Amino acid sequence: MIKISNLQFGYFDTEVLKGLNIEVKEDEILVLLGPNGSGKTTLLKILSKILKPKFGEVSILGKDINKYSISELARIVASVPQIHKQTFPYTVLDIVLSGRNPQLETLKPSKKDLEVALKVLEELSILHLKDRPYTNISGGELRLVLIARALAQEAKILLLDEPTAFLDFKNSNLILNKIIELRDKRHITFIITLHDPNEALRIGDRVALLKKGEIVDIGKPFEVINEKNLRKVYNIDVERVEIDGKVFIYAK
Amino acid sequence: MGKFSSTQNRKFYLLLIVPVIFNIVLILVSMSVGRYKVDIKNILFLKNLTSIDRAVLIDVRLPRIMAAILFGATLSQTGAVYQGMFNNPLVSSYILGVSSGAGFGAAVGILFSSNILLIEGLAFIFGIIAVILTLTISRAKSESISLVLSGFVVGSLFQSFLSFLKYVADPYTKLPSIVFWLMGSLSQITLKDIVIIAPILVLLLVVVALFGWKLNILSFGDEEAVSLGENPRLLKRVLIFLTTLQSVIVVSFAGVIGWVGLIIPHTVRFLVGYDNSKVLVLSIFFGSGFLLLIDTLSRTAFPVEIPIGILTGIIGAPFFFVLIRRRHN
Ligand SMILES: Nc1ncnc2c1ncn2[C@@H]1O[C@H](COP(=O)(O)OP(=O)(O)OP(=O)(O)O)[C@@H](O)[C@H]1O
Ligand SMILES: [Mg+2]
Repeated sequence: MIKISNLQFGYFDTEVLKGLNIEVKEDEILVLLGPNGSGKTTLLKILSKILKPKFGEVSILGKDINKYSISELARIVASVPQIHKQTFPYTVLDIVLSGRNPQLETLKPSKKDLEVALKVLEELSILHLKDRPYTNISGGELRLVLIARALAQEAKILLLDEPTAFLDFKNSNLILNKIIELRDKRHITFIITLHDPNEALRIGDRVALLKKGEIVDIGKPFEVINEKNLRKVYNIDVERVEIDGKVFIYAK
Repeated sequence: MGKFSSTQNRKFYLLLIVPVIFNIVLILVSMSVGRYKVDIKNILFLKNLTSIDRAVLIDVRLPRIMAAILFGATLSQTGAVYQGMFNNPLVSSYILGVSSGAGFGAAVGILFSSNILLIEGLAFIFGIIAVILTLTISRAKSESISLVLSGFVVGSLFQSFLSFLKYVADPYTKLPSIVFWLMGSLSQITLKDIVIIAPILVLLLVVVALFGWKLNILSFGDEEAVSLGENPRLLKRVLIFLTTLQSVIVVSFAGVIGWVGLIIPHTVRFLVGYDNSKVLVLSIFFGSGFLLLIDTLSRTAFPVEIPIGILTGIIGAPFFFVLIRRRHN
């Protein structure tokens, strides 16, 4: 689905990604785990053509990312940014409808686009918010609205940058469950950045552990997220416990 | 779901019809009032009009009314476009330096000649030069200075040039003309001007309005626009090209008329919401009515004619204040 080989990137003269090699398979949830500044957001931005690779190759569905036009790529890859700046109080429906942009045939959405947007809102159980200004909803609701916007793009690949940040216990669980549900129902491939190893253990099919723009380890979550790797990456001591066949991790 | 879209649309059409009716009534009133009065009934039925009546209506009032309508519509729409594009509700139609450039060009024209065509022509050319300079500066080197900042720099530069010209201008003949031009006026527009610019401005209003929904995408910022499948640089270039043409035409014929591009889009958003596909359309009709009202007042409410740019400021600033207060409550 996605093949990243020897990808290098830097802002100005600082090197941020130092030769990444990652393959993502169809229907997979790949979690990117790593400290602040390790390059997770940068990688996601390259995958949505916001940034251009300096060196190396990225191919999506077998085609080089540089050969995609911006709108062509947005029909395959949708993303939810880590930070979204709200300026104008558009309605929730307007926001979700804007996800239809790459699919438009004219300069405006049609009735069919409106139907898609409403269906997505219903699917995420936030249809009741549709007429509210999206500046007046809670942080968890906003995250769901932005996910709805990405889903409205009807893309096969979804990039979520810290989808659980700032969310309370209930809302972050809600989002994680939705992700699994969407993967099962819609067969969407996810690349998700997270900070909590337990969340990564819970939803990841595979985890890539990053440090300073390099992959320390990549593989099955319970194999990658271990004492040795986490000490190497975060420089802290952790302990793993197993309860009912599930692995949990906590700092000592 | 069907109900949702139909109530939304009903509100939009209502907000479209009200200003249209208002404008039609205002056109009739504006035709009739002034130092020379013409009976409104005669205008309505095109009856009993003397040759003087006809001359006043067609040669004096009609061009001026059409200019007010077209310019009010254009300034409001360009203001709304820039506010969306720059993600900033406080920028105006002049944000890229067009008014300062045009003001400087007009002052040069006034200093060296009194040919109105030359003055308008120089205002037009320097208005465009200022915007091109702004675009160039903002793309200087690899560093991209924001367009708003570059517009500010270029605007200040031309303001200084303009101040210099005012300083050296003959204080009895030339300086008053420069000052008067800068305050904005629709009194010099002729029917010939209107015949040329009306089709262009109408076409531009329609084309820009078609980009309203795309402007929503642009207002999320460049990065999100890309992930939503839009090329923000291309779209911005297209819109800046169109809106620069719009505002430079207005400024070179009417001088600097402030505030319209700020208060009308805000009023419209207050009434219909923030979807720019609606805002860019309704701004046309609210803006035209507003400027026609102001211009009619400017030539009838006081013993001497007050420059329109002064009136828009006197009415616009407090109005804007009230609008912002209401929004925060
Ligand atoms: N626009 C930018 N200009 C210059 N340097 C940047 C820019 N954005 C990020 N960086 C740098 O690139 C490195 C990687 O940043 P990135 O945002 O990809 O990290 P991240 O893994 O997403 O971190 P976080 O967990 O805090 O979101 C950091 O050292 C950061 O300082
Ligand atoms: Mg990040």
